[in-house]
Amino acid sequence: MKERSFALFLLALFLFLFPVSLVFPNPLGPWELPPLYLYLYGSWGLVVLLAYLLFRRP
Amino acid sequence: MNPLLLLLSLFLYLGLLFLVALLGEGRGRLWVQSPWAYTLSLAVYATAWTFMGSVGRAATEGASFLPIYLGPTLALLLWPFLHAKLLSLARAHRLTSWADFLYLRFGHGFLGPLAAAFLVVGLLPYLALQLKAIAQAFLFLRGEEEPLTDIALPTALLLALFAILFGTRRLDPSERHQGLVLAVAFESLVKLLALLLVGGVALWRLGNPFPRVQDHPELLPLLLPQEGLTGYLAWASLVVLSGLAFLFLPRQFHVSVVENTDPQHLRLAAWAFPLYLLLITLPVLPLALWGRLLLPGANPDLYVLALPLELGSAPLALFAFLGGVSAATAMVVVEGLALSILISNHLLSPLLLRFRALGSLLLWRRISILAVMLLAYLYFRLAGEAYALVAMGLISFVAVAQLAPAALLGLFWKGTTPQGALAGLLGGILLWAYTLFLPALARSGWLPPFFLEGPHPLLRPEGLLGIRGLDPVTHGFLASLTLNLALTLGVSLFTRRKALPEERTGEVEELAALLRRVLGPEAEEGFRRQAQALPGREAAGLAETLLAGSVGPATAKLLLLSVTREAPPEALREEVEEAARESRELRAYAQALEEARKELAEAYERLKALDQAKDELLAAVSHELKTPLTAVRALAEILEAHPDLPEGERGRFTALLAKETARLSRLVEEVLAYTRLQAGVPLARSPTDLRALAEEALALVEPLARERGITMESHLAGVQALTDRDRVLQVLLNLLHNALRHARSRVRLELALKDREALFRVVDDGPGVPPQARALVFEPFQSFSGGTGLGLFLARRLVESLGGRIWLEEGEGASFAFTLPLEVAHEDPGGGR
Repeated sequence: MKERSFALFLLALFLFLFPVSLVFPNPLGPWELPPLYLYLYGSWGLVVLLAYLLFRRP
Repeated sequence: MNPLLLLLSLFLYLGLLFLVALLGEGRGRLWVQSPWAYTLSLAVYATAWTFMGSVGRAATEGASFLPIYLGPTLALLLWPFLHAKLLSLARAHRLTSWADFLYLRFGHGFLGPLAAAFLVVGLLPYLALQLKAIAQAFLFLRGEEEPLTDIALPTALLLALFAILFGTRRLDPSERHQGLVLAVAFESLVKLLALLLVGGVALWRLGNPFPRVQDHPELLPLLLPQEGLTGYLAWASLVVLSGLAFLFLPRQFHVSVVENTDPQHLRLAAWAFPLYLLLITLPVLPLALWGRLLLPGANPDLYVLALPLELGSAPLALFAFLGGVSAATAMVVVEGLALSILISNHLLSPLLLRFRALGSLLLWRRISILAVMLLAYLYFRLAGEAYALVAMGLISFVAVAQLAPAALLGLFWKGTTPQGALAGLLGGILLWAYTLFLPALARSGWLPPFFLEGPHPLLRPEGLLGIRGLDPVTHGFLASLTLNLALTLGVSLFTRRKALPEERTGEVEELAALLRRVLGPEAEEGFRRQAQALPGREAAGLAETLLAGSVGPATAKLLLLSVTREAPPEALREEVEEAARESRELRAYAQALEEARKELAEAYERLKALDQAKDELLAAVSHELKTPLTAVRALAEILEAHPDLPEGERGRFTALLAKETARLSRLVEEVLAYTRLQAGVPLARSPTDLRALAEEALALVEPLARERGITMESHLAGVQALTDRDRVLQVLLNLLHNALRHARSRVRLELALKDREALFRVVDDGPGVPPQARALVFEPFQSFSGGTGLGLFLARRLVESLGGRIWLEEGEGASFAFTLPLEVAHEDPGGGR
């Protein structure tokens, strides 16, 4: 449990601190939505989903 | 909007909160203990800053509002390392704050008060922010231009009242407030729903704002990441800073650690709380963009209220206002309570103890809540109007982050010393004040501009060592935390670890009396229950823990000094404990020996009595045998000496011989039955129909009754019993034979069920037992009618062996009664005594 929890923390740290300015130079992307926010909310949602799968059962 | 309607809504909502809090302390206790209530209570993290300030920050600085919520997500993923350890420590030592932990870990008398005082000062901007948010929103909806301060003061007083009512009812060593937790969880739902509703209505009525941004180039930067190293540093710093704030804010420690009822609740919180934050921030950017597009001149911090009004929906604006009030109320009340506990435990209690006024601690705690709120109001008046909401909150975030090096290193690195922790904390505090707090006051005009410039270009408060380009918060955070960490590590490496604090030991009675004096009778009772089986050292530890929860660790230690003494050193203590254990074992052994001696003496007495009884029995049996034997011998001699006896005479002598022989035979039978009983033959219990058994006994004695001309009567109820069938039959036969011997014309046998027992009664119409013989009737060889004298004695022993009792009843004739239990649990096997 502790190892997987720490691994998820490291993944989240990488996703949240990734230098996004190198990858998303345009304000708008697919469906006329900002790619910066799509990335941030997407990675955040992924972390929440993985945390749910990891912690849901005692 | 009508001010009366606004005020009415505000008071109705606060009234509803009171009801929810009351519910939490009554019927709703189960809800409070659910993991969902715990998770929602963590959302006290989302304050008016989230509700209004985030939209304001998104409208001016773009994505930089998001790190504030990504940090707590990261911190919660580490709960198996951080919170699990904290919860077990808090449970064992009744920790109520990080300051308690620092005192417990380092034992330095100055660390706790320093941390407490600093947190109070450091969090004033944050509390002021909440007052500003409510006052600002209220005035905006009223559409008036009155000074903010007019509304902020009553708001502060009202919230202080709420915190006092639900946070300081009594001095509780656990410091749990279930009503408050439910109210906070309820408010978390309200603010989430309000923001989602405002965002949803805006999107539904106005549509997707992003395509419109293309026509407004000035808004494009809001959709792009911050550029360059400084932008990245600001982003990363905010993520780390908010993660640390989530851990070290007093209100977060309070709801996540002190109010936690089950460590397993963290499993749900670890994903559900980040999900909550994700949901509550979803509408932020669309609202910020629509605010910039439609309300170019408005205050961005008020877009959440202004947009519904712009859309013509006053009820939605009112709901948004209540959402903002929820966010601010929950934060202010829990933070106010947490700060009052900090002040009380580390600043007030030691002072009150010195002036022997510890009894007034609860009053002082209430006063401290009020004082904190008034100080927050003062800060708001001094500096509040110069800053946007988020900027004010971030100054507080950096302040609480100063606890991180000492606390986290203290948790995970044994080498951290009290000197290191103190040096780091002091350095961090000073640099925080220099780089953030004083410049904030200078920007507000309350301090001279010198505090923005510094004494030298390299010492400029917002650009130390000539650093340019960083925003003040990132700069202040990096500078203060770097110095703090460096001092904590460096000083710890060059100082010695302090020896472990001495252990105390004491008597449970004295400790209980101390607890009664300080915490009241309930705490005393609880302590007595727990401390009953504890040795003095552990009882003193328990008392200290209970006291520490209410009056703080330092005061608890001081209080304990008066009723305890120093525990002996470890080696000596082991010897003393070993000696005490051996002494206890010896005492137990001696007691067992004494009991065994008593049992042996009793057994010897019983044996002696038995031996004597046997002698008496032998004498009695010999005596009884002698009479018929003498008669038999005499009759035999007569018959032998007079062969010419007439036929009639010879027949009479022969009949006498047969009668005496029969008597001898009956005597031997009864003696044999007696010896079997004495030998302790075990019972053969089986389910027995007692009525059938009685009828069988009657049938057996019927020939004898007929011979004597006696009428047999019976009145038998149907009774079932678990008993020894043969022994009961023998008792019945003995009693019936006895009755037939004395009866004139009638013998009656009864069987009834009485009080869960079978009751037999054998009644005859004979002369009855003479009064002088009644006491001896069940004794052996006490015959008053020519019998063996063993029949009734045997009947008594048999009945007793079956767990029943037998007695002679008063009245005409003789009436013997005996009872039998329907089920025999413990029976006398029949051994003699």
